[in-house]
Amino acid sequence: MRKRKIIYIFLFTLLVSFIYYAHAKELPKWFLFNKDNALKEWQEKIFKGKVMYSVESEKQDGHLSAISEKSCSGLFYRIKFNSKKLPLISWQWKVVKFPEKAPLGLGDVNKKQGWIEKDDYAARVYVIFPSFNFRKTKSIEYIWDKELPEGKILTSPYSKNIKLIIVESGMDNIDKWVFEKRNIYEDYKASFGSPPRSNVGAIALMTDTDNTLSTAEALYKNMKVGYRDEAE
Amino acid sequence: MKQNKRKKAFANKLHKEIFLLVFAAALIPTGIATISLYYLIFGVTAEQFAIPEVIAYNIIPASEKVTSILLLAAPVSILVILILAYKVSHKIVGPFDRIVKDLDDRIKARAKGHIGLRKGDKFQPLVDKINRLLDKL
Repeated sequence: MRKRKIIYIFLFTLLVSFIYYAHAKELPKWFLFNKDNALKEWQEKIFKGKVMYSVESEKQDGHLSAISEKSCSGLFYRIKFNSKKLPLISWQWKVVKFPEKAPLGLGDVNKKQGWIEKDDYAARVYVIFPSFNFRKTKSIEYIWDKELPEGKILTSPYSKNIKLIIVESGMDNIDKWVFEKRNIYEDYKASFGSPPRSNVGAIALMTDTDNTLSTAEALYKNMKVGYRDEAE
Repeated sequence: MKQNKRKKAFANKLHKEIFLLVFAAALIPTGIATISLYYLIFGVTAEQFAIPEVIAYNIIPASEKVTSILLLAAPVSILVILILAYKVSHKIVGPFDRIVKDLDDRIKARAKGHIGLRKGDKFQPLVDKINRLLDKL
């Protein structure tokens, strides 16, 4: 009887390990946006109007183009990994046009309504940590903003569970490809004050202009998710 | 010396058991249905909306409203279920005890004639049969 119990536990452990490693084998996940069907595995989630997301694959170096006209929709990709074990995410992005918003002072972030009206960004990358209780779903957003200072971590006007990390700021690099590499685990700890309790469940990209009713354009490419540096 | 006699909430163990059974039979399915519907409506919708701002803007305010309504309604509903469970269990156990006592009285020859029930009490067909049996004895 005891022997059988041990065999069952062993088989169950084997099955769980197999599922885990089969899943982990997909990592790191690359998004090169260099094929016409590159967006097939992404879902578009519409908030207010559709942003024009398209893959420019004719050129040797493919990329994703996002053009927003008074609209807000994002591209969403479900991916599961432990951010402590595989903490890195990297990508390249280029802002062609920023949303037109009145200068945003840091004082504005305390006035919720005023800030929502300016809560549009030329480019942002989400890392989402889902929870069974959707109210506890947390996310960090890497943002390129024209005004807000680089390195600043803000709380979204929509929810305290959404943290905005300004990773690129200003016009200096406009129309230039900029490479970003972030440690999700460390950024989460810096944003929320404690390590994540759940795995990363999804990533998303967004260029939006629904609040400022303006236009913005950004490009994304060479995104790599769920890895760690070999030296580590 | 005057004795303070506290009235018991339950007449006997059977009364308590039937009360708990009725209360649980009403409360548990209601609770499961409420939680399932809540998850179905808000959890699944949130999963579909996916983008955190969209969830925070659309789903969370709606779920907060529903939660506050549920929090207000739940104590009232539980109280109503408690009262109904008590009444139903009382209507079952009260006549049952009375039938047993009346039968005892007749066995010990302390009383004669038919066994009676109060209006609205359960077990009327059983009492009718017992009375016919008493008539034959």
